[in-house]
Amino acid sequence: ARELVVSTWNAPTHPTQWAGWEPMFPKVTEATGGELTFKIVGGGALMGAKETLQGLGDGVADASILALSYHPSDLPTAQIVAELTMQSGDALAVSAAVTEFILTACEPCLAEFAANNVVYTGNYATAPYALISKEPITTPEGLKGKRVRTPGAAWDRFVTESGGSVVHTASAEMYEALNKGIIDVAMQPAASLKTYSLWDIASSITLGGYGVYNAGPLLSFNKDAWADLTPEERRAILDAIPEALIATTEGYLAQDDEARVTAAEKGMQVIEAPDALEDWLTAFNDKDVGTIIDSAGATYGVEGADEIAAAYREVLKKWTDRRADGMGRDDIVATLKAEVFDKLDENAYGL
Amino acid sequence: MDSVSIALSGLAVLTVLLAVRVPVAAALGLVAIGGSYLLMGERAMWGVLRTTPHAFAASWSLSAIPMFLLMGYVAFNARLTDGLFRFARAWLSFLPGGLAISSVGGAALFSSVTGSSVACAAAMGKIAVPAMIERNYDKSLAVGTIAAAGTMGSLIPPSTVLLLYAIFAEVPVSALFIGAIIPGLLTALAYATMILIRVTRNPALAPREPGMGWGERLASLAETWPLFLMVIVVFGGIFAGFFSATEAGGIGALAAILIGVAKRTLTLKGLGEAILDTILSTSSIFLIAIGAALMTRFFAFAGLPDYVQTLFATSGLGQVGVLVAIALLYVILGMFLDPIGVMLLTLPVLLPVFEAQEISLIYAGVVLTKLLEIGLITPPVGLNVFVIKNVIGNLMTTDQVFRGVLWFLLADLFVVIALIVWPETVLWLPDLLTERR
Amino acid sequence: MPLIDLLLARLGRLLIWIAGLCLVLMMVQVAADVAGRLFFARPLPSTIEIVAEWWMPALIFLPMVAVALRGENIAVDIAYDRMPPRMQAACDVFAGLAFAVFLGFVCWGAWEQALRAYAKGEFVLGMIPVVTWPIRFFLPLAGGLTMVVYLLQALRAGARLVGVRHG
Ligand code: NA
Ligand code: NA
Repeated sequence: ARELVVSTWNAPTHPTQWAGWEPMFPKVTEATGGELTFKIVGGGALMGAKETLQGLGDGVADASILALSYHPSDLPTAQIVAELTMQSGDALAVSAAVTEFILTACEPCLAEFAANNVVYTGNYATAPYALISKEPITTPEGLKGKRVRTPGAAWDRFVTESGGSVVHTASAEMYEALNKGIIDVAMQPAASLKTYSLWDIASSITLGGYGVYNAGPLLSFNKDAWADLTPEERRAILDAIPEALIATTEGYLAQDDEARVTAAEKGMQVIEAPDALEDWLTAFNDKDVGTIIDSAGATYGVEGADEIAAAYREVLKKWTDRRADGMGRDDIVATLKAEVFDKLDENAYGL
Repeated sequence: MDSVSIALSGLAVLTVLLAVRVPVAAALGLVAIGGSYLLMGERAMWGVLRTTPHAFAASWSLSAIPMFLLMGYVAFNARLTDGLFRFARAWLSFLPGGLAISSVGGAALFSSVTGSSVACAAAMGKIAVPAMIERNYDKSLAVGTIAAAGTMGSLIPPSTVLLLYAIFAEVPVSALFIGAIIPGLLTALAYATMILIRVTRNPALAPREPGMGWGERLASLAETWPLFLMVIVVFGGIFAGFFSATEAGGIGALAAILIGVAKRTLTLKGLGEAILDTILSTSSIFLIAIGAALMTRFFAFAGLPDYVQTLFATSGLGQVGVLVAIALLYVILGMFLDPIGVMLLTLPVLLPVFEAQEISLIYAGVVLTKLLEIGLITPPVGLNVFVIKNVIGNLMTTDQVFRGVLWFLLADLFVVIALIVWPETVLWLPDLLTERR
Repeated sequence: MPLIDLLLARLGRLLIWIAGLCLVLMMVQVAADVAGRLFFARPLPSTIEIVAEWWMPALIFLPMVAVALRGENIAVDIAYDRMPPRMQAACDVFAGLAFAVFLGFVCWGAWEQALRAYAKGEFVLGMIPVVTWPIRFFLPLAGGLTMVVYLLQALRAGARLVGVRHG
C-alpha cells in the first residue's frame, strides 16, 4: 500500500479539488485494490503556486496541481499554448486539445517536464474570461482609456491594441481595485463574481471570446514517485484522468453558469458577446498569432514556434469542430481516453 | 511515532531552543527542518529549503511592510511627530491625569502613521516619559502608560501585523484596516478611562495640570498639521481609490520625506537613519517569518491543522468558546514570543478552525491582533516594556516597568471582552464602507 | 580574528547600503507607478514583478549580516537572564552554533536553487519579462556571511566559557 501526497494552493472550493480530484482518487484506489491512496494537502501549506514546479520536481509532494504561466523559463514550449489562449472560448474543447497536443504532438513539451523531474498527465480549462466592469462595455471603443486588470501576459496585447491600459494587481486586491476605481475592468470568468464577491461592486459583465485559462495541468507527478508506482497503478491513474479533466472543466463551467444567473438576479447587466466586440476579437486574433510566434523566439527562446503553434491550432480545430458537431461530455471523455490515454504505455510513459 | 506526535514533539523542542536563547528565527527553522526530515525524508526537506525562503520574501503584498515602517521612521526623524504630544496635551491636559491621557492620545495619533508597535512605544517614550516625570507623575504610571499605549501601533492602521494576517488569510487588507479602527479607539478610550479612575481615586499619582486655552490649542494644531496631512494622503488615497493599501505604504513614505524636506526638518542623516532602521527591522521580521513559513510546511505535512480542527470540532465549543480558548492560547504564547512570530506560527492551524466555526476572517484578524498586542506588555517577554526600559535607563528596573503595566492589562481585558461580546465593534465599519452597488 | 571582524563589518555596511538603495528605489517605483496610472493612464510596466522579485529579496536578505552583527535577531531572554554567567556562555555557544546550522541548511538549498536559476536564465512574466536569476544569489551569499558571524560569536562565547572556568 502506498499513500501519495497531493499538493494544491487552492481552497477545497475549487473545482480542481471537488470536481476533479475528490471523485477521481477513490476510483483509482478501488482500481488498485486499495493499494494506492491519496492525501490532499491544500491551501498552499506545502507549496505556493510559484514554488510548485521546483518543489514537485524535488519531491516535496508526490503530485500536484500546476500553473504553467509561473514557469516560463522552465517550460518555455508549453507557454506557446498558453499564449494562444484567445483562440477559443470552448473550455471543454480546449481542455481536450491542450491535453492531446502536449501528450501526443509536443515532444519538446514533455522533454521540458521531464527535465524538471515532473510527469505531465493532462490539462483542465477554466470557464471563459469576460469583462467585468461598473460601466457596460459593448463595443471596442468601450475599452478605450480603460484600466484593465488582465489575467496574464497573453491578454495584455489585446487590451493595449484596444486602447486601454493594462494594470496588474494581486488577485487578493482585485475587489478593492475595482471597488475604488484603481481598475475599470477585471478580465475574469463570471464565477469570480461570486468567488471574489465582485457582484457586490460591478454592474456589468460582457461575455465573449476572451479565451479560457488553458495553462493548468490538473495532476502532475514527481517523476520518481511516478516511477515507484507499479504499471497497474500508473494505468489506473491514466484511466481515471480523462474523466477528471473534463469534470473539473465542467465544474468551472457550472460555477460560471450559476454565477451568471445569480448576477442577473442581483440586477447586474449580463451582455452576451456583442457583435462589434466579437468582430474586433477575430481581427485581433488573426493578427496576434504572428506576434505570438515572433515573441516565442525572443521571449522564451523556443525554436520552431510556428510549427508548434500550427500543430496546436490543428488539434484545437479538430476538437472545436467535434464540439460544433454536437459532441457531448461523455463522448469527449471516451474519445480522449481512446485516442490519447489508451495509447500511453504505462510501462514507458514518464519513466 | 505518528506524525501528529512528531509535530507536538517539535513544539516541545522549540520551547527548549527558545529557552536557551536560540533566536526565534533559527529555533523555528531548525525544528521545521528536523521535523520535515523525519516526516518527509531528505529529498523533500531539501525541496522545501530550496524554494520556500526566497518565495516567501519575493512578495508584492508584503512590500507594504518595509514601506509602512519607513513612513513611521521618517516621520519621527523628520520631527513630524514632535508636535503630537503637545497637541494632545493642549486638548486633554485639563483632565485628571491629563499628561498620561495626552500620551495615550498622542500614541493613538502616532499609530496612524506607523505600522509598528515597538516603533510607536519608542517614539512616544522619548517624548512623553520625560515630560511626565518632570511634572512629578508617578513613575510607574508614566512608563506603564507609554508601554501600553504603544501597543496601539499595530492595531490602529496601518499595521504590519494586520498586513501579514491579510496575506496568510487572503482577506482584503483595506477591510482589515478599517475593521481595526474602532477596536483601536476603544483601546485608547479604555486606557484613558482607567487612568482617569485611578488618578481620581489617588490624586497623588498625577499632579493636576493647568488647562490650556483655545489660543494654545489652535497653535498646537498649526504645529501638527504635517502629520495630519500624511494621514489624509494615505487613508484618503486608499478610500478615494487612488492607490491600493499595498501601494499606500510607498506613497506614505514618500509623502513623509517630501513634507520633511519642505519643512526643512529632515536631514540627510535623519533619512539615512530611518532607512537603516527600516531595513534592519524588515530583515529581522522576515527572517522570523521565513522560519515560521518553514514551520507551516512541517505542520501541514504532519496533519496538525486537521488534528487541531478536529479537536475544536469535537470539543463542543461554540463560536464564543473557540474565541475564548484562542484568546487564552494567545495570551500564553504572547507572554513568551513576539506578535509576528506567534501569528505566523498559529495561523496555519487556526484559519481552518475559523472557517469551520464560520467566524469572519476579518473579525478574527482584528481580535488576534489585539491579543498579540497585549503580549507586548505581558511578562516575562514584553518587547514594548524592554523598549521603554531602554528609553528610561536606570530610572526603574524592568520588573518595575512590568508592574506599571499591570493596570493597563486590566483595561485590555475589558476591550477583549467587548470585542468578543460585540463583534460589531470590528465588523460594523467595514460593512458600512463597502460600497454596495 | 580582528581582521575578519573588520572585513565582516565593512561587508555588512556595504550590503546595508545596497539594501537601503533598493528600499528607496522600491518606494520611488511604487509611487511612480501610481502616478503614471493616475495621471497618464500608463503604469510602469511590471512594477509588481520587479518589486516582488528584485527589491524585496534584496532588502530582506542583504542586511542579514548587519542584523547579526548588531544582535538584532530577536531571542527570548526569560530563562537566560536568570542564569549564572557560565551557563549564559554555554547558551551563547549553543545559540550561535544553532543559528549557523540553520543558515547552513537554508543557504545550501538557496545556493543550489540559484545555480539552477542561473543555468536556465530564470525570468517571470509581467507586462514585460523580468529576469530573476541574479537575485537568487543574495540569500546564499549574505546568509553565508551571516553564518560566519554566528560561528565567530559561538567561538567567542566558547572562549568565555573556558575563561570563566579558569577565572
Ligand atoms: Na499603526
Ligand atoms: Na509578553
